Amino acid sequence: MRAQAHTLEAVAAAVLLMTSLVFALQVTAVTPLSASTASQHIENQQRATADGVLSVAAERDLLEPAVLFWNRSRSTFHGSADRGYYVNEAPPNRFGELLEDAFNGTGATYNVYVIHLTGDDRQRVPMVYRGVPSDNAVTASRTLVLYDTDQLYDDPDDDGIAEPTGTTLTAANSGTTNPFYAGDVAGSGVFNVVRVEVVVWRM
Amino acid sequence: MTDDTLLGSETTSGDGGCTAPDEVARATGARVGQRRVRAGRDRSRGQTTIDFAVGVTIFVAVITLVFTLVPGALAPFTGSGQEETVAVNRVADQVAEGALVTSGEPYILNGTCTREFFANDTGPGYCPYSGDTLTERVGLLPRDNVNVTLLEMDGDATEDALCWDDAASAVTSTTDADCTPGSNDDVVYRIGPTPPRERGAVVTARRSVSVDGRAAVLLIKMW
Repeated sequence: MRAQAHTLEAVAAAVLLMTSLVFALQVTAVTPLSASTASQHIENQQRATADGVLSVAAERDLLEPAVLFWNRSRSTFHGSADRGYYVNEAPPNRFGELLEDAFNGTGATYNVYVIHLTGDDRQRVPMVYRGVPSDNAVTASRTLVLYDTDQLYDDPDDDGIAEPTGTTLTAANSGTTNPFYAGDVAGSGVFNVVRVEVVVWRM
Repeated sequence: MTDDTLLGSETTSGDGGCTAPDEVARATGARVGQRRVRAGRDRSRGQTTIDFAVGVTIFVAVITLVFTLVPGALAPFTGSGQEETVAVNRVADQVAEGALVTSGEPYILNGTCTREFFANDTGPGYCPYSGDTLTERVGLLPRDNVNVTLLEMDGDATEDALCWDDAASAVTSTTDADCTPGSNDDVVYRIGPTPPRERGAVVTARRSVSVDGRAAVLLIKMW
């Protein structure tokens, strides 16, 4: 009449029950990085902060020196690693300082790309690359126009403020050696139209 | 084996005689020389002592687990300030892109309007905000608690508010000695009641802005 003759049957049944429960709970693991209302709110703040940083940089004319902070002889940005982009440190100019002040200590990290036109296509040059962004990354971008008479920037006195070098963009691209990363795509005084894109995500 | 066999085995005792302890033992049903315990662990059930120990252990463990897991499973559904999350984002958007901006560029705040906003004065006519109290100016009800602060963007963990130094007509930090609020029209860029201490109750929104050519962080707190 009893459905259970031995305690061992009860043990086996309980083990199966616990295994299915644990399995179901592990499959739906909730971590601090899981999507939720709180993480969506944080992403909104990060996107607005990145937008604000680009607006402030544009208002104080810090974007152009950062985009033109190019070392022709090494074909990289000044002070970056051999790969051509900054990895651990922010760009050593005031734009980099602004990015550091905005995102340091907030638990977020960022990539910065410069997207320029090449003929009828676009090419993406990394300025700061810290890894593949997570699935919950947000982006803010700002367009910038480069003219033929704009000069490349450098920081010879290492004070963190970029200064023009006197080499214009047309002069940099006039020979075949050590050109700037973007080419002259317009016949008029415009050199190129670039877009600075900041991708922010939580570490 | 039932009670009937008790009489037949009375000779298992040492001396074989009917001694008084034997009779007492027989009367109470205890088998002499052989231990037999009644309560709960009958020989008629297919369960040894070890079976019982294992069963009780599992029972107690499962009961404990259920009583600790169930409140945790219900935790996400307790209220957590959902409407303040939406409101604080809207207030931050409005202040950083509308109420203090006269140049048409979002996140670039007008210095005069910002100063008058934090001093709780009616600003000049070109300032986009209107209303007398903080909650009116940001579009909330009077019963909502909101605190608006402009912090210095210096990349360290301390949250220093900015301050308008009237003597030098410049924006400095509250850590600067020239900032003397309460005297000579110096304005600390912080307005609204102080948020409560407990961390879970306060929702925050932050924006990067520029005021008077200086990068700052606009921090809005609601609770």
